[in-house]
Amino acid sequence: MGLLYKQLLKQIARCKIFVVLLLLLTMLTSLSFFFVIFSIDGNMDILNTLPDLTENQQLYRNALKTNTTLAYAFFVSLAGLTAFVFVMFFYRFYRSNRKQIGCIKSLGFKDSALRTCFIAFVTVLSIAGAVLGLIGGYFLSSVLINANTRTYSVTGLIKGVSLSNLIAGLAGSTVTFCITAFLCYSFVRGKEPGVLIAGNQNYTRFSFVLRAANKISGIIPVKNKFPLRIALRKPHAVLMIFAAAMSFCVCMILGRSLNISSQSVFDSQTLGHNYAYDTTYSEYQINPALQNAVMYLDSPVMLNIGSYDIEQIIIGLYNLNRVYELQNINGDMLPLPEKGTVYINPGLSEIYGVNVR
Amino acid sequence: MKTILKAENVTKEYGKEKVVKGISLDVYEDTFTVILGPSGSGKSTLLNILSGLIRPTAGTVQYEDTIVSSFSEAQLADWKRAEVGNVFQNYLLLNNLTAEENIKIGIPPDKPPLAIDRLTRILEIDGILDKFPAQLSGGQQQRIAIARAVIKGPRLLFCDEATGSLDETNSKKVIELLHSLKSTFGVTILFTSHNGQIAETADRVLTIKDGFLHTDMINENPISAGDIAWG
Repeated sequence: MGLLYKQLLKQIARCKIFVVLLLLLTMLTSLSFFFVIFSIDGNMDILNTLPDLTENQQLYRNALKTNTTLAYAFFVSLAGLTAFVFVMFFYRFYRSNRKQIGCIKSLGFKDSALRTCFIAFVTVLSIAGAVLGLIGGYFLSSVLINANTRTYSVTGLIKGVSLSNLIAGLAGSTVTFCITAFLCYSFVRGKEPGVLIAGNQNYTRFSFVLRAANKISGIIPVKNKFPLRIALRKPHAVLMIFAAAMSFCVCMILGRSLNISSQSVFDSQTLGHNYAYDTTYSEYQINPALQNAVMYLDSPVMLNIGSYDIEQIIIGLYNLNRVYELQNINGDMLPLPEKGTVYINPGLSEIYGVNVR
Repeated sequence: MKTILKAENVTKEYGKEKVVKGISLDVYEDTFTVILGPSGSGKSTLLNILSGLIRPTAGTVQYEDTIVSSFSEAQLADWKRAEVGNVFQNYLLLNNLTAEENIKIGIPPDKPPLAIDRLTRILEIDGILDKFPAQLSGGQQQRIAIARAVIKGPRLLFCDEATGSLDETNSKKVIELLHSLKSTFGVTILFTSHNGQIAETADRVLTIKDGFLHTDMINENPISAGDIAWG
């Protein structure tokens, strides 16, 4: 059995481009799923534990539910597309290796042994692709989490996946592709070895196809007749090209419509939410009623560096809270400067070399 | 002579075309039988039916006391794996396996194989076992194919135009080796050919014409393969 596996797997490996394409597609299938799911599951769990949700949290939860549906829709669509490519691969593989498969069957190997070998190959490929997609999805989900943080003004979002979705993402695609491989074996299952070795075609069907190709090519101008006739002799290929073009168009339209709908959601969330308040006082405040208020100093100054006069603002803070925080150039939060020290705007420091002595 | 394989009223149709037309014959144990006939006469189809590679449209094939033609796919595969060897005109070696692996793939898991050293010595392929099919000549490939078919110690060996792609020297060698295998390992051989000279080495000669069994002759004085006057 080991030699059978060696022969068949090496033969499959000869179709390098197809194998790489299938690996990429299996990876993309699980990536598209985990990319979205990682940004949903953990945060949904948190939202579900909260007794009361703010308006934004409500909106965010609704968006997560919609995203879950979208994730499944993409997963199923891509799994279907990948399964279709698997079908094309096996169709081509079995056609071009009829004699070898016939020879192996003539040696007394059963269909079940050959089928198991092909399913084993698909299982390994699918699991590899699914795991790569899982890892990629984990890292890429940061993009969605950042987008959600900005869109819904919610903080503390985490990455997480539920066990059921983990199993669905890993096993769902693998099982689908294994079933596809199982069904694809029907291209050669039950075919007699003698027929496979002889390479006999179904001449009745072929002559019908040929007649149809002749008839269609007969009605078009002579200069296009020959290539069309050749193309129509392979109706499967024409059908597959049509299906591939259709799938591409569907994916493009789906992607574009998602982009437009996401923009609409973003606009609806941000429209009218840009408020401006005048929080300045004309003189120093000592009113005890304002003790709990968040106060800061904001003073325009003119910085003189050599021959340059640069307009700057000095800001004085005595407390950091949910409204005000200091960030460095990377967006990381900084602690309050200690007494007698200051932070300098990174731009000033970098462009004009301003330092404090 | 003991009958090992029996065909009764075997017919094969492809669509409306009848390729084998009601042939009945007995194959005797430990004989070298040649089936002669021009291209398209139905000899390869008959051989494939007898070896279980294709099923007859009508009629039966019986191996000793068992009706092979009514076997299920799995039973037929088991029978072929244990009792039947096939050699084809185009060798049909598995391109990703070495010569040695190509031979070993023919060994069924539940049956002790013949001694590979002895077999490869007889077939004069013991020095090329580590080579891949693409590195071998036609004659070498055909001898590997014969070794693959014989390693399991089959009771029946079916050779379909096994010398059809070989030159005179290699063809004679293959015929000689097949006779040697028959006498050494007690294999019953059926060999199709359109070359009448090969028939002179056989114990029995069947001729097929237009899908019918035309003649059935016992060759009283078979010549040795080396004496074949190649046409």
